[in-house]
Amino acid sequence: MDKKQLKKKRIFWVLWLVALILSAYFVPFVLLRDVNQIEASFLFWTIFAVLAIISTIKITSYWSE
Amino acid sequence: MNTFYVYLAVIIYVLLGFYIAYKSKQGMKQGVIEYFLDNRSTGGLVSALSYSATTYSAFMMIGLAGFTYSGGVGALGFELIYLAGLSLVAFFGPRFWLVGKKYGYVTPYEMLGDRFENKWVSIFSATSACIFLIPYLSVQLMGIGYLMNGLSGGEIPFLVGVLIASLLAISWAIIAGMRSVTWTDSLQSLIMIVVSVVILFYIVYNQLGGFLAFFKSLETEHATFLSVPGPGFFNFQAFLGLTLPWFFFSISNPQVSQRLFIPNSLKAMKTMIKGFLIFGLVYTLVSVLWGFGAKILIPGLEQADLATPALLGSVHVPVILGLIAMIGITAAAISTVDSIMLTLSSLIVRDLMQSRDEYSDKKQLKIGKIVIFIIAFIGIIFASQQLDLIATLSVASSVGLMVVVPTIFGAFFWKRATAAGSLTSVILGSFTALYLQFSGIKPLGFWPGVWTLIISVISFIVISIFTEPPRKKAKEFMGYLNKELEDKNIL
Repeated sequence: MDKKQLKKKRIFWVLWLVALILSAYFVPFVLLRDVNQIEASFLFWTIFAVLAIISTIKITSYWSE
Repeated sequence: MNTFYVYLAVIIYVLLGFYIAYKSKQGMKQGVIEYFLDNRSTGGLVSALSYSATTYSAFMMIGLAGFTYSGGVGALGFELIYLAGLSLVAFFGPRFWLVGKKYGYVTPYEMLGDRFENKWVSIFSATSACIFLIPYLSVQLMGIGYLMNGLSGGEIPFLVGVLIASLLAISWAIIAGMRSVTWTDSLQSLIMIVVSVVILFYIVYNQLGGFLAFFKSLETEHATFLSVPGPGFFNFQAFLGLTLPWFFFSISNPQVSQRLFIPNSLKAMKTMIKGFLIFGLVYTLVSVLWGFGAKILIPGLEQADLATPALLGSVHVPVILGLIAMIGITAAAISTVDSIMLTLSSLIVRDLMQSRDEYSDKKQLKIGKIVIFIIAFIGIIFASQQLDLIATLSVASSVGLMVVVPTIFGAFFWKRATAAGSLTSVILGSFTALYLQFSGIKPLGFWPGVWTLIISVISFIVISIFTEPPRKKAKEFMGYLNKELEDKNIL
């Protein structure tokens, strides 16, 4: 990967992660505020964590020794 | 099976721990890097298991389960936002690792002191870490004290549990330093995850009618616990105040950020991150479901921290399983405590003892081992005071440790950052954290973590702009890193 590609990927992943983390506040506190079901905040936060895990693993997959 | 087998299990756990700790010592050389960092040669799997065991403490099965018991699903969001904070390691992990190897750093603060060419940066950062990590360490010891006390119906004195946990932690930290810590951590992480999963399944299938019926009961009996703010504890300000310090935990807490120096390769670091994330997701879900299970089975407890001990000691859990759970939680606490003791010892030897170069490695190690005993003693005294809500105190420690976050970002990403900016940020941030924590004041309703971060970030930037950076060092440090990052495709 050249310097430009690296920078582009870095910006993309940082923006994606920031958006993902903001969603972990916005969705349960605003959109799912009064939804008292297991399929609401419980499921949302679980999916959020799975996406964060996949994203983190993807970022490390670029590394080479 | 009777309780004899459980006591046998405890003895096997302790003996196995000692056996592994002594085994890890074989072939080990007596040097500072060998002792504090396992000679930067830890494999991926051991790194992953040890990172998991160090990060996850008695807080999970006691504090987080208690948070769920009193506040509902917000506890899950809180802990999973922390887990998502591990994405920071995908950026900072290889950076720590590269410069650690190149410049021979033993502690994260040694790195900051060198990067900013100012010994006071490492002295103040390390002092701040000592001030805030000892309460965190004490919280773990208190966890064991509460647990043994709760499970025995008050028969086992709180202090006895604290002392047992301390003795095991001291031993496993001292025998072979980082190597005995990571090896015994690996054993303990397996105990933690297996025991917690088995007991959760037992409770869900034997007492709650399976997962579907469990979730249905939650929706009918405790519906408000499935949303935020729910029963009230997790209002937005509280949630932000709790999550913000924990999001930065992986770089702010030296007992985990120091682990970024130890993998033997980038591949091992990848395995460490991957393994930890999977462990973390499972352990978090188990702890939260455990808290919800307690809510259904034993509602009406006045003190939420007692949810787990009360559940384990109740008729819903056979005595044997309760005692096995105690081993799992003890393992979680000890694996965190021994790591903190070892890290604090390294901070004192490497960062606070600035004249360290006048001492041989042997002398430094001797001092380090004495320091472990002193730290343990202070931790026991603090724990014996039995301060309020265990989880809140643990989070308070994270608030204080967060003050070094702007300096870490600056060290890697901002050439204009200065030592004066760092010092101001660490000192003002620490005072803010201590003042707000002790006074209980929440300006505009926001918790200490929010204000501490704001003040340390602003002071770091403003003072850096008006002071002179170490240009030559910054250029050399970041120049080296940028080249390596490019060569190794690191984002």
